[in-house]
Order: sequence, then structure tokens, then C-alpha cells
Amino acid sequence: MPKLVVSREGNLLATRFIDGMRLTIGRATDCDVRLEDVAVSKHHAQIEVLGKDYVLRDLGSANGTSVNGQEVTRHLLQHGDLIRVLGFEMRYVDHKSVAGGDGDRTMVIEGGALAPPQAAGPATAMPARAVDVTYPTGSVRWTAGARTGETVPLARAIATFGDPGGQVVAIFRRPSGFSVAAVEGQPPRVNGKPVPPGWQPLASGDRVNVGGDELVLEIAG
Amino acid sequence: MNDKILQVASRTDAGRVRKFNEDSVGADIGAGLVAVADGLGPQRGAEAASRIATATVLERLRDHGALAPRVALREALGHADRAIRDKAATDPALKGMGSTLSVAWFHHGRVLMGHVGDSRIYRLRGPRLERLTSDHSFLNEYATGQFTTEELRRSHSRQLVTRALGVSDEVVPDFSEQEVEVGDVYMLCSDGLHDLVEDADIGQALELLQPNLELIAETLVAMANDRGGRDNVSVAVVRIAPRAVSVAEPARGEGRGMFGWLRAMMGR
Repeated sequence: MPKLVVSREGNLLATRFIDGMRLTIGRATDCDVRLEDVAVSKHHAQIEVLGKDYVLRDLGSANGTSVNGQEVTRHLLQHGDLIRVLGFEMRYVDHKSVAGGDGDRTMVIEGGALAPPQAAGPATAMPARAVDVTYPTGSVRWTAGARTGETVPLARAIATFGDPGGQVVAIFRRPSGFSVAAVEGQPPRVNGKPVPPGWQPLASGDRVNVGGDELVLEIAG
Repeated sequence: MNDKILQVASRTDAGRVRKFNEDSVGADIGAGLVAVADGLGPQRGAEAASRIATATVLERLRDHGALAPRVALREALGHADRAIRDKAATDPALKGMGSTLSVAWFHHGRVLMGHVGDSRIYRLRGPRLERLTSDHSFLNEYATGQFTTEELRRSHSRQLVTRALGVSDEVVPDFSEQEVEVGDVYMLCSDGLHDLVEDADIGQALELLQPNLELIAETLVAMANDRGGRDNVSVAVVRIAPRAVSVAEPARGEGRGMFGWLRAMMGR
């Protein structure tokens, strides 16, 4: 279960586990985390549970709430976030949420049990997870055939070259570099040798022959 | 109705993090059946549950007797649900096991689909990729309107499913049905793929590599593993090809996991 480590000017004031569906922060005596300073609003901010997520919401406070130096009205908390309300600092600690933990396994929950009764806005199509992966920058240059001299950047995951219905080759951009594969027709030649089935690594400067064309891979950096 | 043939390739992989593969893929091309399941609960149970899910549904639909296809599909998913629950009751170590399931049944020029959980069915028609199933997941059903796209990417609730076979008194699957067209590509996958790979990249693989289904399956698994491979990943790709064209069998790749390259008539 995540917790808030509350401090002021470097002095630890309290550690508070977020064990209910909601945790309130403010100057009022009924707040779960009391911040005793007249400039703090009575009900300043709160943390709400949404599934396995914790969402910080500023409750229209007079002096605002910030996370990692940014003013927020609503923020999906991540392990290590630093919440600031005037001179108070609250570190959000949620070790379990860190990738690879048990929280990573698929779980079944009772529908709606962990959600507020109504949705706040229109549904958004579910996107893929944020992943820290970088892809190389590369391009192909024609060194033979009708397009000789042309260069095309490999800006997307997959690019295909050749004649559909005849011989087609694909280049696949991956974090480790680029790969090449035959899509249809005779396997293309890379540096003069036919490409075996499936993805094969393609290095900068490698020559790919497909149809009457020759392409050279150029990787930046 | 004999103007179309079905071509299928599939692959399942443990991914880059997990030791075990708790997904199952089932295909019976002669019967026009393809299914993907993702087991959950204790490891041994999760493996068993996903296998029961795919095997039961294939077996029940392969020989559906006098039942109308829609009725047979509903009955088959109900049967898989009970089979998992019954199995879990025999062994305390299996308690809590369950499975997602997505099944596509190509039949007389149509495809009937049933699904429970967050395994998906996609369709590429022309250049357009569409999700044909709506995830039974916490975020999709209760929270997409409360989160921005960027927050959804970083949410910790991505693994929460709201429905699964074998875990409640009686499962409520979703069903749909539509006509298939020559050139359509259908793709069933576990969340190990769509959790990590954007639809835009999935669509590119399906569209650009279309002549080579085996390469599509290999590519989708590679895309998920390239992005961390944090979960098991399974894909089954189905292409509706015109009967007149004879399709050369591509050479076999050397990858791991299940591999299939088969074809069959549609409509019997």
C-alpha cells in the first residue's frame, strides 16, 4: 500500500499509509493529513483510489498544489512524486508499483468495485503502455535502379521495398538496430547473399538487392 | 461460398521477463476456428486454465451438432467457464485460476466472435485497422473517461480485467458477428501484445507484411519483446484469400514457440 511521507523544511512530520478509498489533506481537523498553517486551505487536496491508481486532486485551494515543481489540479501519482503544499512536502512512496513486482500480474476485479460511480469525460481509446525504449534513426539510399540517388528515411516501424506481387523486402526498425526480411517472391540479396527466412540483422552500409534496385542502409550516429 | 480460403499463422512466446508461458493458442483450420487465451491466477493454474479454455471451445465447436452457430458459440464459452471452475475445485493449488478468451469462428463467409477479458480481435480491411472487441478491463470499462491518454499509458491498473472464464458464478461473454471479405486480415492476441505495441505499429505489420502471415506473427511477437516483453505474448493471424490464387508456402522460420501455416476452405 502506498504512503505519504510528510515533512516541512526537511523535518519529518508524519508517515501516512493510503489505506482507504480517499485521503484528505488540509488544515481542517477532519483531514487525514493535517497541515497546520493558515495559508493551507481547510480542505486543500485529496488523493483518490481508482483501480490500482492513486490520483491527487487539488480541491480549489487558495494557494495551490504542485507535483515535482509543476502546479496541478489533478495528477496520476507515480512512485517518488514530490507533492508540495506551501511549505509542506509530501513524498509519494509506492514500491509495489515499480515494474516487475507482483502487481504486474493480471488480476480479476469485481466490476466497478474500485471506481467512482460515473466517468468524468468521454472514453479514450486505450493506448499502449509508456515504455522507455529508443529507436535508431536510419534511411535507405538507392544506389541502383530507377530511383538511384533518392533517400528515404526509415521513420516508422516497418518499410517495404520492391514490387508487390513480385519480390518484396521489408526493413524493421528495432531498438537494437534494423532487420531485413523477405515478404514475398524470391529472397532478396544482402551484400550478395540471399536472405534466410525471418528477420535478419541489417548493418549500416549493407546493400540490399530487390527487383532491379539496390538499396543501402544508412544509420545515423 | 467456396470462393474464399482461410490462411492462418500463430505464435506464442513467454516474453522477456516471465519464466512460464500462461497463454494458449488454438487453431483448427478445417473447422475455421482460431482462439487465444491468457491464463491468470496461480502459475500452474493459469497455464491449465488457458489450455482448458482454448481446447474446450475448439472441441465443442468442431462438432456442434444441430446447434445453430450462435447458440453453439455461447454454449461453448459457458462450457469452458464451467470446465475451468470444475478443475479448480479439484486442487487447492489451482484455486483462483481463470482465463481470458477470444475466439473467431469463420463459417459460411461470416465470422462469429466471442470474447471474455482483455485478449483482443483486430481486423485489417484495406488500410484500416479496427478493434472488433472491447476489453473487459477496469480502465476500458470504468476509467478511460477519467484519464488522459498519457495517464492511461502510465496507469498501474492496466492489468485489471473485469471478466474472465472460471472465476465467477457465470461468465457474461460478448459476442458479435460480421461478413468477411476477401483480403481481410484478422488478428487475435493476448494483452502481452497490445499492452506494449501501439495499434499503428500492429496495423503496419498486418498491412505491409500481408503476403507472409508467418512473418507477421514473428514481427508482432518481436515488437512486444523489443518493448520489454513484460508479459507472455500470443498472436494468431488469419487472412481471407481468394480461392483461385494458389499461395506459395513460405519457408519456415527458426523461431521459438508454436508455429502454424495452414489453409482451409471456408464454409463446408
